[in-house]
Amino acid sequence: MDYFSAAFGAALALIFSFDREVYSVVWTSLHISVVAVALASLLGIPLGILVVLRDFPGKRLLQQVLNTLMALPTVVVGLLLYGLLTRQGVLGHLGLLYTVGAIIIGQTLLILPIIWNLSIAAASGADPRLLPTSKALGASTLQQGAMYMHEVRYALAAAMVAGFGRAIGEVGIAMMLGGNIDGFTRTMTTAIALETSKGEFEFALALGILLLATAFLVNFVVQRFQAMG
Amino acid sequence: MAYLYQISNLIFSYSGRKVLDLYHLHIDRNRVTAVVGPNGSGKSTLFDILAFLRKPDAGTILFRGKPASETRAALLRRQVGYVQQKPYLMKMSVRDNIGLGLKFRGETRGVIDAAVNAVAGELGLAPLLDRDAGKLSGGEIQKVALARALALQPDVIIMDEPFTYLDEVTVNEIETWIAGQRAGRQKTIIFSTHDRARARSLSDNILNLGNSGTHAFSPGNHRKR
Repeated sequence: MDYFSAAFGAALALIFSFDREVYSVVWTSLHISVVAVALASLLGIPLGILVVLRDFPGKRLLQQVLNTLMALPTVVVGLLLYGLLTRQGVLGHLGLLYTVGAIIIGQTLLILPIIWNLSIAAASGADPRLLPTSKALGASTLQQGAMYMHEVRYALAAAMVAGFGRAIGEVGIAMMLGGNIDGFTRTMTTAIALETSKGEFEFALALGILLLATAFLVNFVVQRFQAMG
Repeated sequence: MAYLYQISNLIFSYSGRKVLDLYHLHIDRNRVTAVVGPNGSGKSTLFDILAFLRKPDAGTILFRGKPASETRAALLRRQVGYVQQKPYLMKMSVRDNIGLGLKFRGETRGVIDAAVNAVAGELGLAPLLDRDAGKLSGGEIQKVALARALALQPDVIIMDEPFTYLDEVTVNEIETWIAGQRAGRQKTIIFSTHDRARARSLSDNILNLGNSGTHAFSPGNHRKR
């Protein structure tokens, strides 16, 4: 217990000394996860609303697939993308492996089913009068979608937070596609794994605390946003 | 007399149950038509069809003399102002709700503001314009929904049970508005009600929907099947 308290104290000291190395890792993680959430939301939210607005063959199957993909193991995404991005892979010529871009692609694919599926749930929960009202007012299909986004914006924000939580906390993709390169592709989770294995428990703990604080802060901001509604 | 709608052999079913079976129906242009019938007689379904929100299973609908095809539905919807039985207001201000249809039509802020202010003045909604639509009473919601339809300046207004759940003051206001429109002969108003006396006093024509909703007749120009 003494060891843990001492490590905790040292971790706090590292945080409040604004250690450059610690905050560089935090920044890399935030940058990657925020971009991944933005990309997955740009795709997933319109697709989710489209699934609600339109009937098509295979709709139920699609939702079952999305449900399954919500639990997609990060290492599987990492493995598949590694196969594509490696020098011998189909996309090897892009030179993306072991870059921030590769991690962003991986995290986007990881959280796309989450944001897509939760957007379907959010739009399905809208008032059933929303669609006929929008149509009666002359809304085009695009405008109907925009009205759904407006009316269920708080539930969509929750979907984005769920995606962010999954992205910021994942380690498999960041490790396999980023390579945990210091000052370049090292994220909070890969740094925690590395520093713990090196015995640098204080540094790992400091990052763990910051990881939790980041997740808390994002949830807090979204809850305040939801309370406004 | 010019007809706005000419409907023949219209059939609409829900899960295999026929809720509307209209042999022949005309609705006059620039007149007030009341649709009367018990619950389940298909009034709301008929109104959804007249507002081009639902496609009938069979039948022909001529609107302004031209067939109302599925491909033209979006275009036709923009010519009709529809106030549903329990109107839904978007989670935004009363002002934004009233101007929403104009926004969908790509009108400028200036045009929208002018139209919103004009219609709000007409219906006594000016003091409510900056209120959150989620905080309105039932009567206020009904009036905002009417204002939202009127802001589009359609020559057809369809109101499904506009007097239900309203206080006497709002009922009187809406009755006065319909009476004014009837006198002006500038708009086609179609509304539904359970109250036959009200239908008689406010409308030029009455359409009776039968008990089962499977046939329709009207004392004037409509034949019973």
